[in-house]
Amino acid sequence: MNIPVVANNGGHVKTDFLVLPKSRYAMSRATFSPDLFEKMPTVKYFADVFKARYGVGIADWTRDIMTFLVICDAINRAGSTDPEA
Amino acid sequence: MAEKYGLPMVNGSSTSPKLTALGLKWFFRVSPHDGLFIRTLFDFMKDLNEKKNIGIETVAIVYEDSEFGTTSGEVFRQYAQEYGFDVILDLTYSRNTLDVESEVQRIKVADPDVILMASYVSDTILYHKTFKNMI
Repeated sequence: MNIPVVANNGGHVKTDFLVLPKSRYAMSRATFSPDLFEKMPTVKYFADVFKARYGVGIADWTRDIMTFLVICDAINRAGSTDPEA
Repeated sequence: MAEKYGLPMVNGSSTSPKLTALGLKWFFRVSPHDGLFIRTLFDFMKDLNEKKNIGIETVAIVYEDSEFGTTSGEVFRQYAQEYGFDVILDLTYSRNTLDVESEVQRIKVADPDVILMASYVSDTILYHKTFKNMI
């Protein structure tokens, strides 16, 4: 295989694919990469705290934590769990 | 469902641009969508051409046939035109497929400079195994 694959996330960032013997020509966009640690120290801090607490490192799926944080923030601001609020 | 019962739905990782263009009242997304993500892929290829002079001209776009893949395919086509890449193969497939030999054969014959893909897990693995065997 000598044609590079440039992928839009999906299966190309999932562990089941990444643990296979690597295709030398595949790359993907992702929402998280350890390369961010140098550029954004906050990401490293979050990753360290998360790993200490839950025993696993953060990965592409970590963006889903944001949904939880947003919901918590919305409930706090509304002062209620009633959807209409 | 969220609309019917008036429940807020906060989505973290579904990236089809259409989801937030439907005018839904109860749907919220906290992630960027594919219009932004895929632009970065094209910026990357453009940078490679300009800074490393690697000469990418033709692309094959390969995508599964649910919402994620088909909208990614649309965005691939749109940016390919905008960035001046020639789409020499436009190929969609069922994400539950068990055999992609004929698809990979078409990619091999088209011989693009780059394959742009939007796929899920099992189909990604199947494609790369078949690439390895056939190309």
